[in-house]
Amino acid sequence: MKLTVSGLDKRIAGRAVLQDVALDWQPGEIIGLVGENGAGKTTLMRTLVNQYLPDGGHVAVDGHDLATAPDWRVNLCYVDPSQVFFTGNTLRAIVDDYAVAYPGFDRQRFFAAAADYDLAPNRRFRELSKGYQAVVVVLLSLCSNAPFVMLDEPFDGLDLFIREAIVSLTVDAVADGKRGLLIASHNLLELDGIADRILFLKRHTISHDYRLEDLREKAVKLQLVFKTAKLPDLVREAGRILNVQGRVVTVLFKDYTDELDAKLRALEPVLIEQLPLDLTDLFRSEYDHTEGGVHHA
Amino acid sequence: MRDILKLYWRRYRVAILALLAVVALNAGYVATQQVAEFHGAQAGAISRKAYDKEAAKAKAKAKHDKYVSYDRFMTDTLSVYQDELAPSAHTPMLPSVGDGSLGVNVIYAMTAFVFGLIIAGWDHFGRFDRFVLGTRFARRRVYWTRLGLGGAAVVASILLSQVVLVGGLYLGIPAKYINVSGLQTFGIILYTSALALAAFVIAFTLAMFAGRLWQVGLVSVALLWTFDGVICNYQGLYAQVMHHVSYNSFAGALATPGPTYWPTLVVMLGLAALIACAGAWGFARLSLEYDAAVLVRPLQAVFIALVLLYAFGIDISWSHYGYFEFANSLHLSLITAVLCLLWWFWPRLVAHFRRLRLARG
Repeated sequence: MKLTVSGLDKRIAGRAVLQDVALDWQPGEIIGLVGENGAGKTTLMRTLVNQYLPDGGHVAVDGHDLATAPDWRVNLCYVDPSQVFFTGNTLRAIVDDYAVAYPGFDRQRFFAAAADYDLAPNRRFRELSKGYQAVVVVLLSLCSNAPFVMLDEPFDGLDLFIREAIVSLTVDAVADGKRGLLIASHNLLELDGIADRILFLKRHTISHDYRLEDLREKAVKLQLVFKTAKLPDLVREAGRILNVQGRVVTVLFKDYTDELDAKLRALEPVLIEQLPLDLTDLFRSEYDHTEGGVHHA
Repeated sequence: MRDILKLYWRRYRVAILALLAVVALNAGYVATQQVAEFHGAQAGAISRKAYDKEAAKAKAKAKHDKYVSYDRFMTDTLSVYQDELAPSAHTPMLPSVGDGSLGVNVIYAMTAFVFGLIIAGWDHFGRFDRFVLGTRFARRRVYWTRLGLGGAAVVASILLSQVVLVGGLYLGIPAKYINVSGLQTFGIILYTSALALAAFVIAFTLAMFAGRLWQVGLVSVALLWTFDGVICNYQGLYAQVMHHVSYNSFAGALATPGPTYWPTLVVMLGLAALIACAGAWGFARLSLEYDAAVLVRPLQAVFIALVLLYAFGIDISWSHYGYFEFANSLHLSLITAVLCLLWWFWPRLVAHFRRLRLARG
């Protein structure tokens, strides 16, 4: 099974929010959707499930366009955490509604997982703490048994234990390879630990689609010190400067080859040290409008 | 389709039961009142002996003065459904009673209106629409299933009201004193159902497409306030054009349509069908990013046409002798037309002024 998004456009109030968004997604993958505030992450999710009608483009599952074959939307689940209809409902009633909408909904799994958090079926959603509400939203999404599940900021404002619980649920959910997750989050550390791919949403479109494994093989984060204060052109051209402190420069090289390594060493840096690379560095290299925190004319 | 029905039945069942309970209670109350009134009138009625004495006295005084038999007199006096209306306000489809609680009861249409507001408003403002739009269900099916379920509940409530009312009357009062035919009962059910369905569809569409709760409240109050008068005015206009009856002689009303029974019924059903179809079209094109604005953009033209017709209906002017005055009937329509034009061009005006402001710096 494969979900394909092609040429997706969405304008809101005359302003382009999504432009020519394209994406392939298969079960078994956890995709992190990353972007600045207002980049259009939630809009993308709402458009994928038809809450927002796209101005152009297609969303298809196995070649079936969801606009003309809505039955296929059963393969896609998105519980919008800021727009739920069930705040006054008990967990049992919520599950009953979801079980009608998603015929494959796994009630037993939901209530068994909920019981782990002392969430009884007769508890009302609004009576739960923010953390447990987030857990319920994640459980509903995962127990829908839809092959493609979208989670919007599932770690937002939650304490360590709930975040760990959600991470554990999501990792378990894709373990059998039957389900894929698209997670929009600002919590890059959490995403870094679980995502297979990272999509950067920038200037209304997916600017980069990174496979983290591939990236970790190719990309290198180096701390460099050169003899002179002026940075060599090679560093600027081949890398993205993440931080500058005096003469100590931290640089991300997305495609670090042996050739580049040789060229860099030929510049005879005083210090060249490899640092652990994480998603925050990628995010900074993608979105930081300065050069290592220093504005250039 | 079955799953959509299941989903909405789970959601609406309490509201549907409440609707049926309210209607049954009202009909039961009316029936109880009528039974009590009947027995009170029967207890206070003149005795056969006294009646015969009065009749003999009258006969002795004036030979032409004719008294009907005591039994006929009692039947005429105690009949629940009595002939009360002028011939021009009469139709064989309805009993000739002015009392709305016995004939076409507008309360039931208002109840259907409130029911429509509640279920559609709850779905829209409670974000259930948002959930459903994201599921596997086709929008058109969702729309027609929920409208069909609500509409069926409304028709069932009208049937129930008549069963409770007529059943209650037959249980508490001897049949010969009731004086309503099967055709008239059918006529009441048919007409009230059409009226209630139209009210339900209007309310349902309003609550589904309005962006804000206050908009729903404002339009609902305006509709409930003026609907009776608008229908009455259009009925009068129809009677004048088709039957050459002046408004003063027509004496009809929403609940007592007289010769406009069938036209009013057809218009109500047509209005319900038109608005329902427009609603289906709009729901299929609904995009929820316009959550804070009026959601009727695709339906604006239909909406404006209906508003203009409605405004004209409110303002129809009659001369002192009950004849239609065209020129005097245009005030509200013209004001409404200006407001509608403003609404139509509002986004462009806002964009224009924004550009001007930006250009100035």
